[in-house]
Amino acid sequence: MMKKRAITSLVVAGLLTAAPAAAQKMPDIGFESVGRGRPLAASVLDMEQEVGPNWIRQFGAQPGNDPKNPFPLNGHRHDALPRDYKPLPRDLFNSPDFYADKELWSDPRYFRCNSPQATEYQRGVLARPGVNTSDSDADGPWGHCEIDMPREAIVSPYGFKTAQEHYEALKAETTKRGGPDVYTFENFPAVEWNGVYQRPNGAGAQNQINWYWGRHLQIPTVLSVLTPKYQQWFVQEAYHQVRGHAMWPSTFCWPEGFMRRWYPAAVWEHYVIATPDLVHVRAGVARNFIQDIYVGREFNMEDVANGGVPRLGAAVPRWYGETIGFWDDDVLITWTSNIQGWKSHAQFEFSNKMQSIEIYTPIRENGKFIGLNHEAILYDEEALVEPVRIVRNLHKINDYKDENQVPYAFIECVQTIFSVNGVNTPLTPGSKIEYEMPDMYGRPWAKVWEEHFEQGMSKPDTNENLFNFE
Amino acid sequence: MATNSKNLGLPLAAAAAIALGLPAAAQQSPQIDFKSVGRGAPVMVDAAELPVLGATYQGGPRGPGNQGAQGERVFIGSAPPGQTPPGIEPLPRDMFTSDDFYKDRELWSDKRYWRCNSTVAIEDAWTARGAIGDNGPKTMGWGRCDSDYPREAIVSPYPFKTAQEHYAALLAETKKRGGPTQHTYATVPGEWTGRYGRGFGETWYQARKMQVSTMMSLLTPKYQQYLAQETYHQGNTNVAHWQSQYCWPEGFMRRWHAAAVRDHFITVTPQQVQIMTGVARNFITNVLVGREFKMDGAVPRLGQDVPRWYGETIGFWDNDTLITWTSNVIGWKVHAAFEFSNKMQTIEIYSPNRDATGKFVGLNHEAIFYDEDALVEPIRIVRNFTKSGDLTEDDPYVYIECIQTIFPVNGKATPLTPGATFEHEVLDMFGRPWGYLWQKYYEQNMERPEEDDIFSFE
Repeated sequence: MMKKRAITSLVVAGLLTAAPAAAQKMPDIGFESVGRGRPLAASVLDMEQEVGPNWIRQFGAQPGNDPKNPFPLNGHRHDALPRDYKPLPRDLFNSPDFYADKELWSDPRYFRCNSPQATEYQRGVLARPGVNTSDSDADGPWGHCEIDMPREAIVSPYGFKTAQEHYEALKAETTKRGGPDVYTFENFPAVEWNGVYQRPNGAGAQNQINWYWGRHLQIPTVLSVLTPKYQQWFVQEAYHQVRGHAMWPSTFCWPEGFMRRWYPAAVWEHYVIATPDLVHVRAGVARNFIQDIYVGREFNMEDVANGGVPRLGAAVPRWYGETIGFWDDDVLITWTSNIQGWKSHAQFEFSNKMQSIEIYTPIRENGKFIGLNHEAILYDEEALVEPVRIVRNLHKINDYKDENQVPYAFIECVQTIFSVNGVNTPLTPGSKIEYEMPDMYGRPWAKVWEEHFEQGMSKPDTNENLFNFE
Repeated sequence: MATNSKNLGLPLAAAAAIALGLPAAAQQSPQIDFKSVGRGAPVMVDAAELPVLGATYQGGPRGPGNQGAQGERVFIGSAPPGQTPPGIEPLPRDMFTSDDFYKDRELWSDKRYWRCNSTVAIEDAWTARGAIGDNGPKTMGWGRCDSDYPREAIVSPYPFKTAQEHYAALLAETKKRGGPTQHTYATVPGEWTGRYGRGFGETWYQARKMQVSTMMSLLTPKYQQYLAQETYHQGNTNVAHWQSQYCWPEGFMRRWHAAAVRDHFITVTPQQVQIMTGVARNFITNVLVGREFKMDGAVPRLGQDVPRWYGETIGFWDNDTLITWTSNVIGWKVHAAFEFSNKMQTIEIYSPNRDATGKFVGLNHEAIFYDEDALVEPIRIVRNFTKSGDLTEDDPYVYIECIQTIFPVNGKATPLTPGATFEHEVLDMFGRPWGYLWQKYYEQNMERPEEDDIFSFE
């Protein structure tokens, strides 16, 4: 149970006022579906302010002369809190052992009302300078406790317990509607999908920003959708990030992992190739994200009864899963499974059980195709206490034939940053370090934290390993 | 140097292959019903018709392609380890006895310096199928000296000096033929979309049937030295540095190397054709149809003036043939073959192969390589992809994220388990890191000539 008593009323008010605008965020699909197109309960676009704390700055703006106040702060210094903010005696910033504070994790004040993303602002791991300008981690500033995204707007509005149920319901619905549609190159309705879609940052933010970016919600709200083990892992990352010890996969040229597809800093433009049998979606910055949707295919379900997952190929999880789909007119309904569990920084980790139902729906203005609504419902019985939903709108900016269309730069990451005594350290050629070979399937990020920064903590001996083979 | 390889004339086996190989070669060449200025020239010699040079072993309990079998282990080559082939006078000093291959430059063009081995046989030398012998490297066996893939069949049969000239000529030819064809979804050859099997026919580039000296003859002096360096270390010091070992990028030219790719997944639309393949790393080719390169950078390009690992590709349709030009490639290496520079550009032509009934069965892929830094003249590789299925069946493409488990420890590739520690030196990835490792650990007493850095920014 969350302890956000003080801010609940404000959230409810926000929820009520947000409803009409929220309805605009989803395309009008023309009927009430069992499992797609449901309006958002609330949209971050209707929230005037981010939770913070963060510097209020324009892109490219240089810091002012005062190193303690380089920009105006969206949030509150720890020594200048609003009168109704009641700090906890022990919180994430001053605790020597976050494991021992489990009972406090559901209170936003434990995190000083920081948003998930703000944990990366504290020490400047996401953008310098850090909002904590003190030498002491315990001086970390606060975000706005009165701002939050309602949990109701995060969890799936559909009643399905599994991705399989969801997919089958959508397929049954489509069958009733006369589908699924089987297309050839001669009658393919998604020709206009081919092209390049806006990157999420910059101008694209107004179409793609959502709760998963972690700017508009409190950490306990995220924790409320997680199972205890994944709550612990989330807090573990937050604890170390506010101390400047970020362990981002892309820092080390590790795979980004499935969920980073939805994170704005991990993807830029999306490149879509559409054919009747295969739709290919590619994006990336530090690593490539490739989703191949095999239309008309069926998953092999033989492992499911024994705890396995639906799959197309071998019973080996894939970094970005395997995806099947079908057409309902010009809407593409997909199911992704067989995903490699991994992490997403400033967001929750996920397991090999992660599966998604993703629906790509054309957005039209006066009948003209302008982009795709991308609705994703994420199922992970190990990480999530109930399914969650992320919705974004990908606006098309180029055809492949446009002269100003820049081809996708396929990324091969060349590692220049290494973990040296637990600290991310950029190294130049010729530098020498003692390198410890990480166990890539044993939460290598956590190994670094635990070895270097958690001595003396009371880590529960769960003896569980997300990737163990037992 | 050195287009004048000391493989005087065509070896008998190769000459015979040219004569006998025409029917097979005709099958390997694209099906084209007119004489083009720059595509569809017959393949002179079908590599499949030539013998493996060796020296290597086939069969037997640990033999290639026969692991676990109890069959006879058969030596392939002209002299097993420790012996000398009859009729061949060994050089007093060769790559297996030399303590400094740099000093032996004058010998590189003599196939005996390599004991008539192919680059692949040398790469295999220290493996279970290798012929290194009991006192390697001195006892390394000899490959066949009487066979070779002829240089004439490797170099481009077209007269163009640059990829730009070549592409322009093909575009002009296509215009004369009423093209380029502007396809829609209704007319684009959508039947190309699908999966193409692993086998794409043997080519000379698989390097099992070609003398090292013939490969040398294709290269400029600097790139000859690079090839000699790798060949020496693979066969003599037994220190290979393959990029995929370390999860480094495979690099553009590995697309043509049989071990680097498996099934090819092709997706066709009127505006773009995509080809994905890979084993240790992904190779993605996106052919942007109808686009034109900017010509104001270091090389022709579409995006920024920054080379890309797999380049950028434009193309056009001549009816159901796709003609492409790739540029803006990052120079890199291919093991058991030659390195290449940022100047590498290709003209690649994809032509449909049809059976006697006219049914589409696959694609002929003809590639002509231009690299003024690495190659003394353009070269060509022709292969055939056989369509094995649609994308509606069988396993999907597995997008590869390489997890490094092998590291260069004291200059040698070493598999490590989680928790193992070692002194790791950060390498300059744009300064031939493989060359750096060899030089630092295994060339201390050699007299390496001064050279420019191909990746230097000066």
